[in-house]
Amino acid sequence: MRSSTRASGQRGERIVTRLLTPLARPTILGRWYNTAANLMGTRHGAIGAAILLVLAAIAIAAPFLAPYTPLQQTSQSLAAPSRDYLFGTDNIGRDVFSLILYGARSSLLVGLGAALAALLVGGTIGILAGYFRGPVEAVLMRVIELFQTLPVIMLVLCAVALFGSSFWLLIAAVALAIWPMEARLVYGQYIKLREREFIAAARVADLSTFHIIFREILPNAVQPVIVQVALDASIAILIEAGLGFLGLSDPSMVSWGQLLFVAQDYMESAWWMSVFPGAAICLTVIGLNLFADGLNEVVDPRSTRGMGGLQ
Amino acid sequence: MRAPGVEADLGVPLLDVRGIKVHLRVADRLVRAVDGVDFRVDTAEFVGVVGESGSGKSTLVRAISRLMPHVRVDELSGHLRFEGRDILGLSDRELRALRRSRGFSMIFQDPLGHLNPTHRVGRQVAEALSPDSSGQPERARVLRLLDEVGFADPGRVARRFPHELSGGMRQRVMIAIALASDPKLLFADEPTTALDATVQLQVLQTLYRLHKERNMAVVIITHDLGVVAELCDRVYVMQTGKVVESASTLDLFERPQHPYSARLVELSSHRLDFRGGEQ
Repeated sequence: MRSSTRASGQRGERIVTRLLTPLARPTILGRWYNTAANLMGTRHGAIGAAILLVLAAIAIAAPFLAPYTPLQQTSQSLAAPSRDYLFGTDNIGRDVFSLILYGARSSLLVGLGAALAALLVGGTIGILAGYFRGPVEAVLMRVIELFQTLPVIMLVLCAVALFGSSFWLLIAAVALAIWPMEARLVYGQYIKLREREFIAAARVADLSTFHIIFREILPNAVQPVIVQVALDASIAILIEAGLGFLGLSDPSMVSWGQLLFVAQDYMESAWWMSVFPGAAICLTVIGLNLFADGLNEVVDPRSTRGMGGLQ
Repeated sequence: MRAPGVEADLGVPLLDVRGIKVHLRVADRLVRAVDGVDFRVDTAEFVGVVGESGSGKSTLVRAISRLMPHVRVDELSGHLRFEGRDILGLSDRELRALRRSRGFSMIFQDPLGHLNPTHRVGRQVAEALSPDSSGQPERARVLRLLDEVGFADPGRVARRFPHELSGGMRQRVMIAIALASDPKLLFADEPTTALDATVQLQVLQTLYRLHKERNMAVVIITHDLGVVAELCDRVYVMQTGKVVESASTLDLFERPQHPYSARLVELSSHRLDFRGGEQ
C-alpha cells in the first residue's frame, strides 16, 4: 500500500516537475514552485488541493453558479430536492443549493482569515518567547496558557454580547481561540533552533538579532507552521460552524453553520436543510486536512523530494 | 616535519594564555574543566592539543575564543592576550569584531550542525566575509575561498545546500567560512573525527596547505597522535583540566616527560602518512 502510494506519487511528481522545470532553478520562487509540484505528487496533497481549488472557485463564482440569490424567496418553502431546487428549499423558501454556494464564501474567508490572524499573533508571540527566553518567555507563556484555559465558546458569547455579531468580530473570535496553538508550535521551533550551532555561528558572525530571527531561523521554522496553518483553517471553519449553529454568527451573512442552526427545528421534516450544509463543512475540513497531510510530506527541506531540479 | 618552535620567541606571541581557569556549573556541581593552564601560540605555528575525552581540550579552546554555548560558566579567569591585547576584558562587540576580521576563527567536529540547512553554501560563506573588502565583489571573494579550500567547481558548490554535500565537502565549506574573516589563528576542534579515513587525510592536507599558504597559525585538537606527529610544531598534552606536558613534537615523541604522555606515545604505534601532496 505504502509503496504503491510512493510510486504513483513519484510518477505524478515527475510529470509535474517536468512541466515546471524551466522556472524551478535557484530562486526562492522556484523552491515554492517545487514544493507545489511535489505536493501534487502526493495522493493526499493532490486530493486536498483539488477540493480546496474547487471550493475556492465556487466561493469566487457563487453569483454566476447559483440559480438564486441567497435572499431570494421562492414560492415553495421546505420543498424536497428536485430538478428546480437541487438541494431543496428551507423554511422560508430559500434555495439551499444557492445558500451553500454563497456560504462557501464566508466559511472559507473566516477559516483562512482566522488562521492567518492566529498565525500573525501566535507567530509573533511564539518567536518572542522562544528566541528571547528569560522573563519574556515566562510572561508570554503564562499569557498563552491563560488563553488556552479560557473556554472558547464562553469567550465568543461574551464578545457577541458586548459588541454584537459581525464578520470581523467572528474572525477575531476564532483567531483568539486558535492562536495559542500557533504560538506554542512556533515557540517550540524557536527554542529548538536557537540552540543550534549554526545560529551560534550567525551570532558570532555579528548578524543582527532581526536578521537571525527572520533570515536564519524563520526559514527553518516555517515548514511545520505552514502545515499547522492549514489544520488551523479547518479548525477555524469548524468553530465558525459551531458558532453559527449556536446562532452567534453574523445574521447579515450566509454561513454553513448558520444554515445548520436554522435546520435544527426541521431535522425530521426537512433532512436536506441539515445534511447538505453539514456535508459542505465536512468536505472542506477533509480537504484542508488532506492538503495539510500532503504538505507535511513534502515540506521537509532535507528530503530530496523537496529539492527537485537540484539533485 | 618542521623544526620545533622556539620556546623563547622574539616579540609578542600571537596568543598568550596564562593560568586560565574555566569552571563550569553542571547541574549545580562545579566542574573545573580547565584549571590553570598556560598556553601559547606563535605566529604561523601549528600547535596540537591532545588528551582524552573530558580532559578540557575543547573547553580550553572554546574559552579562548569565547564560544561556549549551552554551559554555565562559573569562573573564567586568567591572563589571555591575543597579539598583546587583553581579550578577556573585551566586550562582546569588540570580541565579535575580532572574530570577524583578522582575528581567530574556529572549525568543529560536526560541520552539518554549524551550517544553516535552508541556506545555500555560497550565502553562508558570504555572511562570514570580513567587512574590509578590497573592492572585490562579494561573489568573487566567496568563489575564491571555495576554490582555496579545494573545490574544483566553486560556482556549483556555492549553489548547493549543506545536506547535498558529503561530510568532507561540508568540512571544507566550514573551513571556507572560517577563512572568510581572514584569520591569523584557526582553532580546529577535532575537525576530522567524524570523517572516514581517506577524507580525513584530504581535509588535514588542505588545512596544512592553508596554514602554509596563508601563514596562519592553527591549533588542532585531536585524539590522534599520528596527526600531531605529522602536522604540529608543538604539542600540549592535557589531562583532567591541566596541561601535563608541553613540548615540541619531536621532544614529545623522543623523550616524553609525563607518564601519561609516555603512554599516549606508546599507544600511537601505528601512524598514518600525512605527507605527500593533495590530490
